[in-house]
Amino acid sequence: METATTNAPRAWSPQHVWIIALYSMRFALRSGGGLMFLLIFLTVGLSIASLFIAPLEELVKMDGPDGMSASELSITILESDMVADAVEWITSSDSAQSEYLLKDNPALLSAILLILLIAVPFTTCFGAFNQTSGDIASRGLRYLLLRTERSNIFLGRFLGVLLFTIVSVIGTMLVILLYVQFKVGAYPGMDLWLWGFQGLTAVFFLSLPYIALCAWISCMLDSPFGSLAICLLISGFSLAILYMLKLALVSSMQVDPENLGWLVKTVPWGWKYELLHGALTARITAILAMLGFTAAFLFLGLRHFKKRDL
Amino acid sequence: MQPAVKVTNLTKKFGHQVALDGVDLEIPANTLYGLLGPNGAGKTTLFSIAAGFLKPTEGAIEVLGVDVRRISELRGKLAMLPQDAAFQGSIPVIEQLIMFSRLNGLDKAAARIAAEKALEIVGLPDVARKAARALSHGMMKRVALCQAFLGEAKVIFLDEPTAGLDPDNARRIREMVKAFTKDKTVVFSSHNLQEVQDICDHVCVIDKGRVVEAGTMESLTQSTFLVRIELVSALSTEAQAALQALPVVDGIELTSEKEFNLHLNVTGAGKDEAMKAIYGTLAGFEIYPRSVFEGASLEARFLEITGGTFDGASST
Repeated sequence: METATTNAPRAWSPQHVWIIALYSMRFALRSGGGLMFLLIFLTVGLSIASLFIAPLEELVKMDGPDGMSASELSITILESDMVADAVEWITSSDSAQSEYLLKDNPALLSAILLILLIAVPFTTCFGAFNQTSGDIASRGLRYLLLRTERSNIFLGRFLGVLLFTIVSVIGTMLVILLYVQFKVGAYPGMDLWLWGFQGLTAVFFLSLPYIALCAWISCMLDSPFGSLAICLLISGFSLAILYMLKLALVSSMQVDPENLGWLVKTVPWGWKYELLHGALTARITAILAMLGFTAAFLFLGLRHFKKRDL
Repeated sequence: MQPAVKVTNLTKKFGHQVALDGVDLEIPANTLYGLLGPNGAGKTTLFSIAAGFLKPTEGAIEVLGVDVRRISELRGKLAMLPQDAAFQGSIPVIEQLIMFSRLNGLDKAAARIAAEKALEIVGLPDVARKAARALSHGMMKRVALCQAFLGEAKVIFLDEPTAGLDPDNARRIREMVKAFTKDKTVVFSSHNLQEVQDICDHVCVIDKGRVVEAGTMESLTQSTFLVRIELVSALSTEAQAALQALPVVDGIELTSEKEFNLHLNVTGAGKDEAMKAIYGTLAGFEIYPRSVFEGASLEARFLEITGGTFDGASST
């Protein structure tokens, strides 16, 4: 038996949150679910990277026109007006922003990041969908409920997934950066790694609200599969609904589409490219928006988790 | 003395289904308290509300004077063996027990020692490194029981701890429960009425979400004075008539050729005189008892109280 060393009871305990986060991370790795997520994240990240890197590798094998090296050629292509137009269209931004992404920073990495940010919400769902639903179904949470407050369990599981996501993002970005630096070798190391770090923070802040959304959905459902399906549907369908709403407003109320930019900002998705914006204030606003969405989803999830039967 | 558990007007509804309907109950401190009831009576629901798993629709439960809605104040003082809660299948049991101990406030090294010690108590030190899913049902039940032994709980709820176990494992668990020190209150639910009668000193019968009887085991089983006698030889018709003629005997009920129940019309002090008369009558016919059991069995009382059958299946 243990000696009587129990702590004074506290409704919310950062120590308990940390213990639950660490063990949920460890258990996720041991049970295979975490490894699966890591694999999915790596696969998605590297597949996106290869979309851009593979053609460049082909170019490297060829001689460039007018005595250009393969690296110079690849940079020239990525910095072309055609690519800039595409970036402006994807990010719904102006030429200053496309210049920031393609000329001021390593264009190859920018291209990878732009596509990666599209995939992050969906990929995150695969790692975060089962924060509590599986253990609610198996009643495994009951062993924890006897020892700690519900809020500690909820936040601990969220933090565990968050830490695991950070590890996965860092791992993926590290592989991409090393590959771009040593295999493609088109950019100065410092520029590449600094931009890589900013990309890493963008991916991290974008994943935050989606992990929180999954925490909320996961505590509402007793089925991990159901939780995954709903998380993916919300992540994807909210965009479809917003798009249809935009179409409806434009067609029925004759609203100028230019004036409906705010619509997409009602979901985290709408802020994702602001995280890579050239202006610091825009980046900070986007980060605050992500934190706001995260706090809102966590509040709703926690409120439900504290009330429901477990 | 303050009761260990005080249940006041407790009601729990699942949609339109009423699982508990205004339950009032006091469980004295430092007792081994049996909770009985047919399927769907509400025993597990009562346990689950007491441990904070379920929220009551109405009413309240106090454990050690603390409302369970403030369950954080009971951390370390309340332990439970939940009925169907599963350990994480692919994780070694020792890892999970260490995590529970760390949440009880121990550091990593102390938590490991506590977890190993708890596994020793339930006789399973060898399974520490095994994944939970690699254990048999009986082993898993003992591992689940051992998590209830972590810490220095004052009140322990055991929800059907012997259900589904072979006789040897069930006996081990009964012995462990009986070995608890006197400063703990153990609330024990079981479908094995003989088991409850053997180990509990207080008992409560719940039926259809309501308490229908509660008290000491003695008061419950001896409210009807009944003697069950097993004989060495068969009971002759003459001897049966002689017993029936005794003024203390209300009725005689043959359960087999060599066994019968006597319903007596005496209680308390008159019991000894009545037994003397019964033994004397049997001796007169050279019939000798092999065994004598005094008092109604818990099963008989249970069936009398609930007016139903007892099928020993899962509960709610």
